[in-house]
Amino acid sequence: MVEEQAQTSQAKPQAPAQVSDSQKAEKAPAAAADGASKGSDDKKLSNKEMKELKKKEKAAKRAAQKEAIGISPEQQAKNAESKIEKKKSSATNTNLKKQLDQTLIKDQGGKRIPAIFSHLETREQRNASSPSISHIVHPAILSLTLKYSTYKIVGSTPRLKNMLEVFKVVIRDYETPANTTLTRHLTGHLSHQIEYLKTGRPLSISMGNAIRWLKQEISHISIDTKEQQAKETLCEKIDDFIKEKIELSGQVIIENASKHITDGSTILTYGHSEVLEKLFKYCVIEQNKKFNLIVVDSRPLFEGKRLLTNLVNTNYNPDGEGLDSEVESIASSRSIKSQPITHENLKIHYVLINSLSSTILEDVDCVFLGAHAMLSNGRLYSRVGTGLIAMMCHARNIPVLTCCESVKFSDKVQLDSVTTNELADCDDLVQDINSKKPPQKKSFALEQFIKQCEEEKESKNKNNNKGKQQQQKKSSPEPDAQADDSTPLKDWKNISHLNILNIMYDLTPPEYIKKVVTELGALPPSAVPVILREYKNT
Amino acid sequence: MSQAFDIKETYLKFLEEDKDLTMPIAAIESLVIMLRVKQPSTSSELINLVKSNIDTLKTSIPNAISLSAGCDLFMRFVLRNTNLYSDWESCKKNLVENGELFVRRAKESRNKSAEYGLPFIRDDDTILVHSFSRVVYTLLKRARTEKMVRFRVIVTESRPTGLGYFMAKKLREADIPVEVIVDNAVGYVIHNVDKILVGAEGVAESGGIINHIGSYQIGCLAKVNNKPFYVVTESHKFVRLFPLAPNDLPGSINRLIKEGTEEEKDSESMLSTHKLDFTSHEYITALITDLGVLTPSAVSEELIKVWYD
Repeated sequence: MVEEQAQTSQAKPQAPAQVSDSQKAEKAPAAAADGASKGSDDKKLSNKEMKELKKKEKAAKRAAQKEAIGISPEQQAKNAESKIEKKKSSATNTNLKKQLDQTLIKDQGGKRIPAIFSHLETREQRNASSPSISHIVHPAILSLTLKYSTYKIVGSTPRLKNMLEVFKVVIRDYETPANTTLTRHLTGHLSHQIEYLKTGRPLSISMGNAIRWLKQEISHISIDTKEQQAKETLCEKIDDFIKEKIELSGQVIIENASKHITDGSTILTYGHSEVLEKLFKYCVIEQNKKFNLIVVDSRPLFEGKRLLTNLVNTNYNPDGEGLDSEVESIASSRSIKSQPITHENLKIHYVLINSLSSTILEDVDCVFLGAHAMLSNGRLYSRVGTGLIAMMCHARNIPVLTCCESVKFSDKVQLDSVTTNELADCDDLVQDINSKKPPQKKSFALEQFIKQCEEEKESKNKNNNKGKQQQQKKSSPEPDAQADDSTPLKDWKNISHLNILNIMYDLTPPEYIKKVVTELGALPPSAVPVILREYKNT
Repeated sequence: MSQAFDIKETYLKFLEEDKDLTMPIAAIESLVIMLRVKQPSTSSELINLVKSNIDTLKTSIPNAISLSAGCDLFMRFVLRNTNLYSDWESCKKNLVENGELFVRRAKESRNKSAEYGLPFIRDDDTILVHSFSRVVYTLLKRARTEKMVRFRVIVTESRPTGLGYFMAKKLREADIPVEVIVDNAVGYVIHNVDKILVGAEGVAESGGIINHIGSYQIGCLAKVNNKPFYVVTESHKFVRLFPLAPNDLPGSINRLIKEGTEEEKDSESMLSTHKLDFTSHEYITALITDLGVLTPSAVSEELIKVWYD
């Protein structure tokens, strides 16, 4: 790049007549080189994203210029909006709506998080981040995103499993456009899907690992492979991945961990974990053990209740083989012998995390914790509250065990739970104080739509009966007061200096964890980097 | 050939013949002999044979922790080798040959461990030793005779086996000044001790050790008093076990509870049956092994390397 410039600048004095030409020539290679260097900087960005980036840069520049001239940002926004609307008259409906949503969100301001957590992405910001791609998103991804964001699918393992299943659908429905190959194009296509998936909730560590693996697998497919065949092999590989990394490793972990549950022992667990649920069932049904289980739960997701109902709904035939109620509920109702596992073999106490006191911890033999991720410095990243439990149990000399598949291992290092975390919706903490049920959420688009309708109504009211408004204002406080009685924080967004924080995860230091059970064996938390090293080699 | 081959007898005979032989090596050696005698004709037969013999060994010998370390290692070795060779005859031949090589190497490892441990012993040291351990003995003896280090040793009595007296006798023969103390005097002398050396029955995955009963309390005292607590051991004693508490050893918990309730009067058996405890990794300064001087957390690394290559 430098050489080229030097050459052109040398050419300048020699041919003064061609100044304009040489200047053009100088500009062109420089620009090209500039583009090339950018391309090499962020190769991962697709063309489309590059364009978007450039657009944004330009817009920012223009905004700065205009502001210098004296146009306020509000006016700018209005101008921009009108421009966009003109431009996108041909765009799809969903696109338009998305654009509107974006502007609505920004009005809301959303600065209601404590300053220390302000770097984390709120739900609104997540939803606003990638509105322009919704038209190329596969419907299966749309529904999955909805399930994630409404907590229909929670927990690292179920999320991973469902994502891979949906990816299979996406791959099956995918058709390579002309002039490209599957190997090159499919990764980009998937990236868009993932980008949209992120608007529901941020990716979990295990999902990130699986996506990395899948992209690698796609890149390994040779160009000569026929499309249909390539798609089939990919789906098969995904199936294998699910089987090997989730199901079989779960089995191995369960077999290993079941040694720590002995007859008559008391086990404590927190929230809900797929592996642990299977472990408890396995110990009762397959190994015929009798033990006490303390399920600790917390607001606002009440995942412990899910564990509870799943365990209560599991039936077991003490004489014969274990029966799973969901499959054989009819059979179990016929045969008198089979009964719920909680009838005799499993005694469950259900407590909330704030009642975790000395009396409850008194004769706990062992604590089993689920994991969202194991970080390479041996720290456990899991549902918020885990750290508290681990600390309390460590202080009482109760061994703390965690069951974690190796897909959940991350090479990240994190020292506190502030730098990286997930912000959930603050409303979850405010609503449903009666704790009868987990938060029922509307989809984000619906919320925005309702808001939009309400605003339209308001503006109509304003225009039509400006005179009546004052009367309305006078009459309005009374019903509000009534509403305040029922839920004092209903209107919390209008209370200044009130911040509500709903954080999803926390970090448990390795000192508190005695043992990490993985499919590769049981290890102390200090051995996590070893697993990462060995695991990556294979 | 001879169907009357008894793995347990062979094993015990090996131990009888060579007093310096440790249990895992004896187990591996007897398994190699078993393979040579039985001459299995297919690989599945071979694997089944090894498996069944290991099971009989483990069940028939009361103290099976270090024994199982050797057995598991050999099993792993067999499984890997049967996959390696396509030709059955060469596989079998290799197995027996390599098995012998394996045994030879394992025997050398004690000297290697001692070699790595030599720099730890200095002039004017007072070293506390618990029970009898062949590796610790080799290390101390070599430090005295080869390096001419002048140090003194305090040996615990090591109830209920009383192996401490045996250790003291052997050390005296090697011209090392020894003093025997009762087990509950460790706290009394620990202030004057410079370092603590113990052997190990087995090294758990966490880097903690399974050793003669009483090691745990010495470990605790050492930690409180900031005295270095070294474990001298061979790498073939690394076991795939991960006890959570000092009494969390296979088979020992249940026995403790039962005897506590049913045989309360018969206190003699309570006193004499418990010979092992588990010292967790936070009490151990370093493990001196034939692979070098390891921190406790490096043990799991070595174990993973052995098992997942």
